[in-house]
Amino acid sequence: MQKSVLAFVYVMAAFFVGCVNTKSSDPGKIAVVISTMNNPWFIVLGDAAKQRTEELGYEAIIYDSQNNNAKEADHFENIIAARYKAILFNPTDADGSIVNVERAKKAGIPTFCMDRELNSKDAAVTQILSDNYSGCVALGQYFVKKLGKKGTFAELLGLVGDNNTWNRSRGFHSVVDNYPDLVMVAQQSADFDRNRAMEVMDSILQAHPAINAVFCGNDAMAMGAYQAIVAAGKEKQIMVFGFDGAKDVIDAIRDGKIVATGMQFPTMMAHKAAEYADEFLKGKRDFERKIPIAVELVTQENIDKYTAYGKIE
Amino acid sequence: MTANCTAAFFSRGQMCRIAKKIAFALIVVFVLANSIYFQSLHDRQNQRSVDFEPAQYAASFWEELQGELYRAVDASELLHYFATDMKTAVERYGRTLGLSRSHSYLVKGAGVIMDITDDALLISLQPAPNAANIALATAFLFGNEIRDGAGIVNVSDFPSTMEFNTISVAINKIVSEEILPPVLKTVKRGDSVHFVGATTVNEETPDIHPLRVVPVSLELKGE
Repeated sequence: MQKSVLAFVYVMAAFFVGCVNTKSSDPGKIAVVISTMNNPWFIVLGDAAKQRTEELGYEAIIYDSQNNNAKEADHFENIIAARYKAILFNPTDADGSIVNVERAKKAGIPTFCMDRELNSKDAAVTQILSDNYSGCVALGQYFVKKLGKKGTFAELLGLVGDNNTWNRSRGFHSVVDNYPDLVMVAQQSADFDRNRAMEVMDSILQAHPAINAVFCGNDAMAMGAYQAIVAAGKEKQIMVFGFDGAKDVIDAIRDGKIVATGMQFPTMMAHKAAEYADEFLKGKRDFERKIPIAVELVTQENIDKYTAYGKIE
Repeated sequence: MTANCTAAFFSRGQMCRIAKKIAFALIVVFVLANSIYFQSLHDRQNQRSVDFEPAQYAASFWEELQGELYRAVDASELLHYFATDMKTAVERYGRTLGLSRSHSYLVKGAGVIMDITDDALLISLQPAPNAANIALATAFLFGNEIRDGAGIVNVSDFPSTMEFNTISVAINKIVSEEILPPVLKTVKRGDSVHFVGATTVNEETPDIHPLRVVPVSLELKGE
């Protein structure tokens, strides 16, 4: 009887030790919340964040907000309820997403922003952001050069609630608006979406068939605009400029179809976010609140140095 | 007479129903008018950073910058490092915004004006006035050379990078409206010039022949 009691105690002790060991060796889950997985650039961002997170020993789950702030709020509620360790976050709205991050912070879950900005200095632990403005200053200078300082053009904006949209547009206009013979005849939002850009460009072409160029706030819109331009038979007349460094556009620049883009580095941003989250969970606290990542101008002259979403090292 | 005519067409009950419909329509129009408004994208863009005054910020930045100019590295020394030891140039003198291969520097020098183009004063650093090795920018001031080279503004101090970006526009405006005009009125080839300014150079693809410098201060001495 005594032996069987002892055996039971040993078995239970072993079980509890096993439980404790299992718990301490499990670093937990990290959520990767992406504004939309309906765009190849964001798929690269999300997948790279997931991959690096897993390499660091965590379980990683991707949540797709479908560019919908309400859906994003639901994701945060689930993430908080499921007690995730950290969130790698690509927001849907610079202002509207702050409340979600604040809620996570209150629940003790740190957030690390990637690419898209929150208009807050302290909601997220850090924000790793493309230097969109400077990238579009460089793109604007190249645009002026290619158009010979004169002509008419259209601009396709991204989501109007996103800071990237305006940082890109302002950077571009900080250069182009200095040339009085360069006239913008249309400026419309196409929500960073390829299909929407095709529709918008189609209507712009009907109203302004003689334009010389179109500046698009991202590469998905550049490809949509290019499709509409080809359908109108104006691909020799209209120069297309994008922003992102997506595969389609890098290939199109190489083929001489699109003139230039601004190369962002989604893989680098995603890896940094995962690494900073790991460092935070291991005790580091002194992070710069905002970390801009330089954007590089990719043209038909230097395309051999670049590949989709990055540089050939 | 009118009331009688109206009464002849509508009963009291019908009148009430019509009055209710009109009231309802008015409420709907009122609610819609107050919930839908049209605004140009440009206005919305400007509205977003309405509380931040970049010109005011740039003015106080400019004042603070004057106290930092003593840190400017000599242009000949910087050019030497760019040509022979980029790593030391970056580590010793460069300031980097976030993660970037481009770095900004405060730089000073003296030289002779070799040529005057549409967008620059081409300067040969003394004592060998042969080829121009500095291009002091006089037009197309679009970059962040001064903001980033000074190292006194931190992007993390701003809720939005849009505000941070407008600072450079305002700083470049000070250069183009206050620093350059008096110099451009009188400058000629052969003049000696003392300058302090800022430059940004990519460490992988340095474009330094000549080195483009955005001036913070310029002092001319005739031939």
